[in-house]
Amino acid sequence: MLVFTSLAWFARRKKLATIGAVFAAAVVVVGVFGPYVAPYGDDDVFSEENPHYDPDNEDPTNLQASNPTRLALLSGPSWEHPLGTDEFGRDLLTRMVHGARLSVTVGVSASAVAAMIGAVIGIISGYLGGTVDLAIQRIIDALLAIPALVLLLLLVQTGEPSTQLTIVALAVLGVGPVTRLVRSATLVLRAEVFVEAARSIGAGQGRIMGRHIAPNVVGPMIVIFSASIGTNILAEAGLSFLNLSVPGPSWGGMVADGRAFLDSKPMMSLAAGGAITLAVLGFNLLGDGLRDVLDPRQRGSGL
Amino acid sequence: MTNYVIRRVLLNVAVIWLVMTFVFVTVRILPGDYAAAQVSERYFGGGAAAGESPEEALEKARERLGLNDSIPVQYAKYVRSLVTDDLGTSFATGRSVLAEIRHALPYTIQLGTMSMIVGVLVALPVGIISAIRQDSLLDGVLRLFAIGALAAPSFWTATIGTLVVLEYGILELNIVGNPGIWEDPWPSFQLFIIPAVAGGVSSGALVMRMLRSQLLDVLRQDYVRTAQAKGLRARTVILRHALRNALIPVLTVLGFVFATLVSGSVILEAMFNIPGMGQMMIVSLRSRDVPVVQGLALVLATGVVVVNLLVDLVYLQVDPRISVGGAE
Repeated sequence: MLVFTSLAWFARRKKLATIGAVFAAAVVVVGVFGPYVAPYGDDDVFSEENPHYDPDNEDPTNLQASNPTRLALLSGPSWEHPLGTDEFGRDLLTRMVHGARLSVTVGVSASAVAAMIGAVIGIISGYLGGTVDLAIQRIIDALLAIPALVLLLLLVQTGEPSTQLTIVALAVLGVGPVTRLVRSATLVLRAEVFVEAARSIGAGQGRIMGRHIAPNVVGPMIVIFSASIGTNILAEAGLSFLNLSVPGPSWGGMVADGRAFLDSKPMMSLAAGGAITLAVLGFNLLGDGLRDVLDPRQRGSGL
Repeated sequence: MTNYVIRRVLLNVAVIWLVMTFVFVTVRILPGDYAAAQVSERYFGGGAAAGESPEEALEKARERLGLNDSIPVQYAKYVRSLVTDDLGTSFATGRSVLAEIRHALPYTIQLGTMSMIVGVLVALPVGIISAIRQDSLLDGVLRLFAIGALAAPSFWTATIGTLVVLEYGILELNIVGNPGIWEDPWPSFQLFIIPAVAGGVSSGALVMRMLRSQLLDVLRQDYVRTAQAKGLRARTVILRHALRNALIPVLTVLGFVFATLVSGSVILEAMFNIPGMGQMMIVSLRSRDVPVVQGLALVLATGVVVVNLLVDLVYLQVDPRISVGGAE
């Protein structure tokens, strides 16, 4: 009951953020369920005569005989292929749906990992203070000094391209800002009476940080978690655009591939880039709205 | 004040040392090395020296490039190369990394400057109009434009730019060579304008949002009402009284904007084949040209650190409300 009332309150007060939440939810739903619902596989190729052509059911000898020009290359929109096909005759809409899965997985996981690690480091740095704080903050300074994409390029090259590696690399980038935010919240909390009370009855540092400080930084954590998903989706799209991310269909990769066919089929680049923009927009608006509600001190720093 | 500056500079030196070491370690983790790439290319692409096995060639190449040294020795050599050797020698060209960077720098500076100009041209008028017409339809449209520009990837806006140019044929897209702005201004401008607009619009949108919220704060202050009450023209009140004060907090995001422009230039330079530092980063990283990767990352990070330091120091100067260390 309470959940519904607060949701209704949020929707009434924060119209733009609600629109954002709807966008974000749509992208998540498409990313999670889309690949199961899609009638085709992401690597299926289609011919002009038979739009439902399936290479797995085709006799391989027949495939050899078939003329490659008969493949539906870069075809326009049709009932079978609402966005048409790409330069290999694959269904664009299906590939967009698989791209949504990659973007959502990478964006959400990287933000979640960064929020947790950043919170732990931020609380330790803020609560212990002194040399520990100084050292941690200089390391964060160093991480933040390297331009984001340069650091990302370095990190994703340290192993075979994979979803996990991209998530880890983006999480490393995200730890800095989370640590800063949680640290400053901890500095305020440290001086609160309830922390002093806990200390006076002999609670250890670990207990104070874990049981008294941590629950109180959840608000800022949620704010920066939701606000950073959009940034991560953008960064992953950049990597895919440079062909340095995960192999397989991705929005950034589709914008890059479509650039060769801008004059004949601009839809490829336009649709994929539009999807990135709408997804990032949705998560950013939601993040802004949550920040206004959960962290009133930062209100007004955005739109 | 002097103590504060000295302390900040020393801390930043420590930060740059950390960056240097971090990049050094990360680069050692990268799978494969330059020697292996070169030798395999020589053996599979022809041109191998007669009577030499791939293993021998690999060993020789590694020895020559210093890749056989132990990690501490490599680190010591690396640190020494920063001081005595112009940041080390590129494996690929045999020239010093500093010379390579000096060659690429003008292109990146040109892209960055043109992006900044676009960004300011977007941010100033749009931010001011949006603030003085708060909550009007125009304000709504402009804010929507800003959040849209922040969400759109620059490589996509640049693609749309290319599409528009293809459609209307306003610009020449096939620019041969890499014309510099001083030698061939017009071809150079045509090559850079699409990436500059794409990069500039998103950083401009960031500044615009900041400027709008700051202006809204400032416009409610008493001294603005005083200026209005004196009968000053609206334009004078906004430009001379309000804007000056609203711009001060905007200064703080400049370091971030700088880092964003550098990040953006990596993709945009690769996309438009501009031989700047961003493209150099991608090329050297792909070929495992370790000294170039290390040198570039160090130079770019130093740039960010210096810009942030300058912003903080300028901030102290222009905003007398902020003081450091109490007693001054």
